[in-house]
Amino acid sequence: MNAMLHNTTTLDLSMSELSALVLRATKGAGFSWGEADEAADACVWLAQMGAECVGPLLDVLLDKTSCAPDINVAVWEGASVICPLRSGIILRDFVNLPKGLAGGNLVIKQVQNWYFLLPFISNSAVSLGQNIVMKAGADTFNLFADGSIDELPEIPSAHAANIEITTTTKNEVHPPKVKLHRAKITLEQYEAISNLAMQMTVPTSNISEAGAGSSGSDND
Amino acid sequence: MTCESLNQFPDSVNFRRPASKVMRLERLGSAHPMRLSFLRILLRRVEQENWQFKRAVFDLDSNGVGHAIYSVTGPERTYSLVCFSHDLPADKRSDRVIATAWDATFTLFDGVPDRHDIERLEKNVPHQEAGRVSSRELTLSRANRSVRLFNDVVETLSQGNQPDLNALAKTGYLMRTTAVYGSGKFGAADWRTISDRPEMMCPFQAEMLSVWLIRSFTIDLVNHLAEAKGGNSSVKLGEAARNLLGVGNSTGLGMAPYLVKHPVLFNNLVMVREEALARVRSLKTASENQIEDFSKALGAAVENAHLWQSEHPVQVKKLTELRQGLADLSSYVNETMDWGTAHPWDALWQWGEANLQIEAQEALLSLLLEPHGSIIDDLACCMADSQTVFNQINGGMLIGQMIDLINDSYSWALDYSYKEQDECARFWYVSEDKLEPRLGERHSEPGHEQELPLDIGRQVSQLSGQLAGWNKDTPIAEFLLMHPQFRNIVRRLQKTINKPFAEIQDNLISADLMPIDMLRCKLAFFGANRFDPRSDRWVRISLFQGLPYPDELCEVCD
Repeated sequence: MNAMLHNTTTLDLSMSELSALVLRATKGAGFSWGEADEAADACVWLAQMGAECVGPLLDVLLDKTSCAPDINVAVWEGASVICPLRSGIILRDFVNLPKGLAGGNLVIKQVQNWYFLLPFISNSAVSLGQNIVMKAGADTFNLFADGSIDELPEIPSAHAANIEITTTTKNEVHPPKVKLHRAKITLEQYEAISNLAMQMTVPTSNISEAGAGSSGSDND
Repeated sequence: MTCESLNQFPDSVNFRRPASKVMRLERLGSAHPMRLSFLRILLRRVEQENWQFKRAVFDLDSNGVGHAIYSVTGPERTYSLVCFSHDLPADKRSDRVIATAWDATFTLFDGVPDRHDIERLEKNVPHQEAGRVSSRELTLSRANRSVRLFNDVVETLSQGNQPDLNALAKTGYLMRTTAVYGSGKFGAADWRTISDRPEMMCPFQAEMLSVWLIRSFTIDLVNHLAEAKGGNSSVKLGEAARNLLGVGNSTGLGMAPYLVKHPVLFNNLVMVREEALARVRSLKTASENQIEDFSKALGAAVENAHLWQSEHPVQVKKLTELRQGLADLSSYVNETMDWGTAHPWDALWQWGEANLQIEAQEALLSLLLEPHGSIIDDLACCMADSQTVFNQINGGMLIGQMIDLINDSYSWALDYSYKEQDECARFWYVSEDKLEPRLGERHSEPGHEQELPLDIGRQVSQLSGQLAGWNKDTPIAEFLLMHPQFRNIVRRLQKTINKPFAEIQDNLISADLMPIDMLRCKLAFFGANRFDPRSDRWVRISLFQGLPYPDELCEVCD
């Protein structure tokens, strides 16, 4: 851990730091590089909206029970609870296809840590050029075609919920999309995500160590 | 803004080099600095906008320990380089990223720092990666002395003499930076938060500004130490000596993957350079002033090639080719070239392609751009990558379209047999100790399971193989549902549509890969010269050598 962090309880990360850290952590947790890219983009989006980001991500990455949904049925569901990262990715990939939102409103059953779906649904609204209403249990969110979103609530518990995604018409102008340029995370979160990120690193070999630097002295 | 509206040279399309030629690593690794390099872009702006320069603080003791602040002010903003100077024992001096102490450490502050800022920075900047900076800081960097030359210069100046110019020219710098971090690293401001400022819009302008101001600090430091040692007998470094000195830089593998990880930016950089060359070649005539400026630039290049030293076998061979090539070019220009011919610059270029080695051909490219600022400098504004978050995959793209895309733009990737031992000999990874990119030997070292996705050619080849079994009318989203491991390369292929210069068109995991070619390519875009490899993955260079100092280009304020 960074030696200067011992005296602090929260960290102020740049968005590029957040993105790089999430990319590595997601890969370290066993996702593919492409999925890790999406997780990094999603976390940056949440942070820019002033929302909690690393906490929900850690819930997603550490959850070993969830799976991708079967989308060849009217209601998307799986053998266990649904992973929000994998279902969010699929939702976006299919956004303009008949199996996705272009084909009508969707229901995804039992999405674990569903808060992490929000970036993907917001991006789907932009892609479709339509506003979207997302219902997660008792909570309702409006995600607009210009990329803006209603105020986000405190992070809810990681419980699974059925998600209803409904497209509506495009309407009025909204506040600026990006609210923050920095991400505040707790030291505890930083340590947890850094530990995951370390899982994709490799000990430097002697051969690599010898070749990585100048073979001569730097006191020239 | 698109570049199309700026193009007053529609004929240039007929003079563009194909990506299949430009993007080979051997050629990219022979790149030379040019007038569209980042540091030249910075200096042009500073001069055009009459920036002001101020050495606001210089508080160093007789050992050179303390801090200094250098500020420059443009039309709207002030930027301040905060320097912390240390007394580093020789056994602590290392240019490697694993070092924990340096002769000097720096940060570029956005504005003018107050006492509280300095106190905060003093607790963090000297620790570099082990410290934190904030959104008020744009870069974080450090430098080590070129000990022998540095001490000799101090000693000589302290005795009232000027140093040996040959020795200065041979090394080319008093201090070399070993990292210049920007773009949000270690807590600094993200580039996106300052990219709407005209002076920061082009890539790496904050980093270049930092190094330019560091150059002033290195001169002030030797003058200060000489005075502390020699008192009234000492003299300051003379103008001739100053001009021979730039700022050195030691760069290792950490920089190599950058060009692969930023394909859109890479495309833009090369596209701008290639468009500049094409515009020059498309000119129907050459004016006397242009010919004279070209000849001056050629003379300077010949001299630079003479002074450029390296002991690395790869660079020794390249230097031989360069010196011979520039000599041949000089002879041709002075004795044979017919400037009255139609499209004379193109004629010269074609002669170069037929008669010069790659190293000298790329030097000729830089030389051809030199007299033509009025028709190419505006291209600098097209370099940045304005891509925002969520560059999503187009899941509706049909598999047949993806196959066409591979065949049209990535056919080079299908030319290798990646199952051959030598064609997959290496793998890129992130090191556990410093979180830096490294290159491993796949067949003799552990860790390839954690391989970084820099093996672009092999990924394309594997994707191509998998797609062959699918119906061409199926959306790629269906394919990715079954094969999420291909998301990364599918996203990349879609991202680089109509970006012909996005990819290094070579196998980046082959046994004969030379990582220094990747380093040199990027460093040439910075504006670096005097490339001096210390291994196949470690290079020293010089920045700003022979270019004006802040106190020469700016109005100096007290």
